[in-house]
Amino acid sequence: MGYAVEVRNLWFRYMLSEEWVLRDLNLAVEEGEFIVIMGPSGCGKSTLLYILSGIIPNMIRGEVKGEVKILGRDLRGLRPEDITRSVGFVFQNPDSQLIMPTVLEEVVMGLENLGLDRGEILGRAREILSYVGLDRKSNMPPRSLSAGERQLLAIASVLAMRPRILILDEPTSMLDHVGTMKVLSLVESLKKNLGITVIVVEHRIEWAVEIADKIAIMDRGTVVAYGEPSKIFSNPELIKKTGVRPPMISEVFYELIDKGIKVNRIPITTKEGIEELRRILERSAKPGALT
Amino acid sequence: MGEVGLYVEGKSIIHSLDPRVKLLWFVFVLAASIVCQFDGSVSLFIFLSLVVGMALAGLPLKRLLLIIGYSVVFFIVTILVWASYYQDVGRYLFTFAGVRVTDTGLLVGTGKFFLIINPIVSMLIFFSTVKPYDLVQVFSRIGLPYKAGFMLLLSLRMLSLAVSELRNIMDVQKARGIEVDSRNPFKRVANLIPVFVPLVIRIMGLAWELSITLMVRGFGYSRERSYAFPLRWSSRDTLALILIAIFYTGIIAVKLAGFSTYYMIAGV
Repeated sequence: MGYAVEVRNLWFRYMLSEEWVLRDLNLAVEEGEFIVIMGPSGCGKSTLLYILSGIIPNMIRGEVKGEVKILGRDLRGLRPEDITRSVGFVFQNPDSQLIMPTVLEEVVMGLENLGLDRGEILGRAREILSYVGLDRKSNMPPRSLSAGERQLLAIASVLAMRPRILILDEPTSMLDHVGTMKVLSLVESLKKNLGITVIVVEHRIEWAVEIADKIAIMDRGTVVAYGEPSKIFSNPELIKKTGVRPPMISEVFYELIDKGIKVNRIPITTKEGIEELRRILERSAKPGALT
Repeated sequence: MGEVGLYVEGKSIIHSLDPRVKLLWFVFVLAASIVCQFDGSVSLFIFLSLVVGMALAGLPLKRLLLIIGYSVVFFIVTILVWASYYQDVGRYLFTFAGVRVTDTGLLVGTGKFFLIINPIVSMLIFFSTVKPYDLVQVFSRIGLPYKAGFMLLLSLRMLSLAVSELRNIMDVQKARGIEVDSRNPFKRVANLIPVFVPLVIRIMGLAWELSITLMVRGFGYSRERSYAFPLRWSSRDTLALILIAIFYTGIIAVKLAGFSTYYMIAGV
């Protein structure tokens, strides 16, 4: 399988700005992978997503150095419409992504812009509304939906255009717990059922380590750690340096290591944590076995 | 999220008409109001036809009353201006606010009033009964770029977002102790600054996010846009257009022929 996204030595600074927001950034995402990007505010996460979705440089001007390939094609050679067909983008606020007066009209808007025929538009719209569980609300105005459902609608409107890459910029940051759970379970199902490449900025670490194929940690404009969640969080020094909060269970084990207790591996999920604790307790049955 | 524009959901006969019929209705109303602008006694029939239209559309009476209520001052000013202009022409009726009102002055004043009000009511019926989705198509079908229709739809959307943001910001500022509802008008104006500054910033942010949404949904990339729910012209639309055309061209014709309801009743 090829790469969905390849970023090599990427530098970017906004127009009229002296400071580079992205500095020598490298990232390679294989097709079908699920990537979670994390990092402190202002580290360049959203800027990176804007570049991958073509918003930079089509809507935001600035100086770009380095190479960005989307599905094997150099981003600079792609027309905005080609990017739109390949990359879907969803951001935080569901309200500012909803334009049309009804749920169904919202989903068909993008498809109409693509100039598809009526049958295909309606077919795709009904299919995706059914997938996200909004088919019974298709004639309702988006304002009558809950915040979580409105974000589902925003995602559905993008998914209906069948992008091969879906980018989500903190899609749950403005939602309550119920809304967050709905959106996260939809995003999970995209990986399982649709197999599209998903790149998401999300701070819910416990969720991220369960679902992500890889986690990218960004700091000061570059990717400082990238790999499988278990490898990323097995390095407490690096995690502490970046300021990213590790999973609670990993934090417990960092403390155990600090106290001098030997562990086989640092768990990232509760299930792994229970297994590791059981092993430690078994060992502890022997006198002096803990240290 | 608020309402998108003025549209009122309904299943009335006016709602079911093709939007192009309602747009042509507006054109006929405008033309007839221009022809009858010097004779309010004929323009009144145009206004009454629109009241019937509103009733058929099942639109809330409140909307009509609001228009009439807001028009009272405008009505009085129009009458006074035109009555003072024509105070030496026609038959004397009464004196109002120091102005000698004649029948000619009153006819012209009401005619000018209806020249403004009739197209407004007609547009109100149009926007209240045409789905915002169909507005875009109407623009395309009459040869204008679909982007123009979409801009209208977007401006309606922005308006509702702005109202919603305004409410939120006012609530927040009230909670912080700013007297947004102060009885002192000077204080109220001064206190609105902390409402409008964040509102403008927020609206700019929303406009930015909406523009990104349009970009990621492929808006404007193809010259031709398809429609999932295309407008369909039916025989009912043809019939409605014929009736509208007969009524308003009839009014135009009789007015051009010199007819006046007032002069007929007055026996002049």
